Order: sequence, then structure tokens, then C-alpha cells
Amino acid sequence: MKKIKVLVVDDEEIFLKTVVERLESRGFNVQGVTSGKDCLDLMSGESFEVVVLDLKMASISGLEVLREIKKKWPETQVVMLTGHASAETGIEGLSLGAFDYLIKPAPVEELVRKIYQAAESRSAQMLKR
Amino acid sequence: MNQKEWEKCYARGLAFFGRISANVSHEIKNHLAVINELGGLLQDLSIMAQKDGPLDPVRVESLAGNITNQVAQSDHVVKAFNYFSHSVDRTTASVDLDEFAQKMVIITRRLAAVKGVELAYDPEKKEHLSMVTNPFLLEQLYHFCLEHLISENKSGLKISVRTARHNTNGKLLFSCSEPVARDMPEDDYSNLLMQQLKTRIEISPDRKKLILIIEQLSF
Repeated sequence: MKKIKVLVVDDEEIFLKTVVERLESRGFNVQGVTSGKDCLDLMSGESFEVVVLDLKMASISGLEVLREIKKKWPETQVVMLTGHASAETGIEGLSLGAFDYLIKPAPVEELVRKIYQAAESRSAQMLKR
Repeated sequence: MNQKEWEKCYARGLAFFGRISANVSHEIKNHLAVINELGGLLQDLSIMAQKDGPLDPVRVESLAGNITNQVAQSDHVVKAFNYFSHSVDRTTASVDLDEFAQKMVIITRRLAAVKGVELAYDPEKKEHLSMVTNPFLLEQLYHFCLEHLISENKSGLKISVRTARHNTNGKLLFSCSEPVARDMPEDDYSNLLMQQLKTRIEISPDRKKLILIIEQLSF
């Protein structure tokens, strides 16, 4: 079975490295980058089914990256990660086209479930076209 | 201070307290998220070891070290936040200016980092300097200065904060890696704070230093 391609974007390096390793061990094809710019650069040359995107990053914010992704690669599904205690930012992300959001810290099983759901939703959208 | 000024101080002070609290809770959540993943990875490795063989002790030691480090970093933030929270206890207090600068840098580092700015406390040339002042108002003035410097959105900018004696008074120096210091914008509230704290701001000719000169108040 083909592995789901996931890109994780988070400027906290230890967090990123650990999440990438944990998702890889759960059968995903994962890459990680530490900035919104690196995310957009990488996506220009390579396609991903799901992007796991931290909302609060230096330089380019997660919401700005989300806008760019949905403009350039609307078929890619985005699961947002937010450290906010309230759901406000997550809801703002949904209005911009994100698939769903998770509030940090979140159990890895929940992230895995969201990635599968996002990938399925992407496949269903692609079939309709 | 008249009634209107007190009301302004109360409203703006509460907003400032809220902003710092939200920022600190966000930072602690980030540390918790990292600890959560590192702990989870240790669990993953342990489950895998039950099937595939022994755990690599070097790997386990490294992960445990990372967890300890994250706990230490959160602890620094919590201690600095506790210091900040107690600053509203008294309107006039003797403040160790070095400790003040150190704690404020810790709780505002993330505000700067979000704008791509690296903020650090410079412990060099440290001299013990106690000032009688209003700590909470001084914290707000520190925040005004910092916000002013990071408002240009110069990603890659580095700011170091240190203290020094200024005749019989003290000063907080914000040294920037780029010429971002400008005259402070006209703002009724910052003017009120400066007036209450008997402080003034100087900008170095090369615009790389913003100096907050603080006079001693009396109890």
C-alpha cells in the first residue's frame, strides 16, 4: 500500500524531529521543515497529500502559509497545530480552507487519525474532478 | 495621578498583564507539547524494543536529556512569570534592575521571536543596581520600548538588554544589531508612565541603542 505523503511544518526543531519520527514509525512518508518559507519552497517541487502546519511561527505565520497553500495547491489538505488554549485561531484557519486543527499538546493517535481523514478527503475530492 | 489617569493606568495595565500572561501560557504549552512528543517517542521505542530487541541506551539518554532540558526551560519561564505577577503587589518597591531585566527578557523573548527577532539578556558588565520604582509601570515601559524596536519587523534582528548605572540613577539599554531605534511615537499612556516613573528615553546617534534612564523614586 502506498504511504501517505505528509509534510510537517514547525519552527520548534525538537518537536518537529520527534513528530516526524513518530509518524514515520506509523507508516507515513514524512518530511519536516522549520519555516513557512521552506514549506512553500519544498511544495513548489514536490507534492504532499497532507501538511501538518504549526500556526505560530516566526517570520511567516501559519495562517499566511495556509493561505498560500490553498491558493497554489488547493487539493493539499492542511491540519493545523495551535498552542492557543482557545479554538479561535483554529476556527480562523478552517475558514481559510484548512481541513481541521489540533490544540497542542495532542496525543499522536489523534494526529494520525486527522491525517488519515484528511488524506481520504483529498482522495474523494480528486475523484470528483 | 488624577482619577482619569488612574482609570487609564488600570485599563492599559490590565491589557498588558493579559498580553504577557497569554504569551507565557502559550510558551509553556509549547514546552509541554515537546515533552509530550518526547515522552511518546520513549513509549514508542519501548514498545518496539519488546518486539525487536533492546533499547539503545544512548538514544534513551538523549531523549531523557531533552525532556529534562524542556522542563528546565519551562521552569525558567514560570519563575520569571511569578516575579512578574508579584510586581503588582506594591506600587513602590526596591527593584534589582539586573534581575528585572533578566526576568523581563525571559517572559518577552517569545513576543520578539514571533517577529523573527532574537532577544537576549546581556549579563556582561553586571553591577548590582537597586532602584526604588513602581515595578509594574516599569515593566510596561520596558514593553513599550521592546514593542517599538520590534515593530519594524526586521527578521534576523538581535536585541540584547543590559543595565548600567547612570549617575545616581539606573538605565536599561536595548542594543540592536541594526539601526531600528527611532524616537518613541507620541502616546498619552507611555508619556504618563514616563512622567510617573521619572524616566526618559535616549536614542544613540547610530540608532542602534535605545536607553531608558530611570530615576530613583522615594517610598
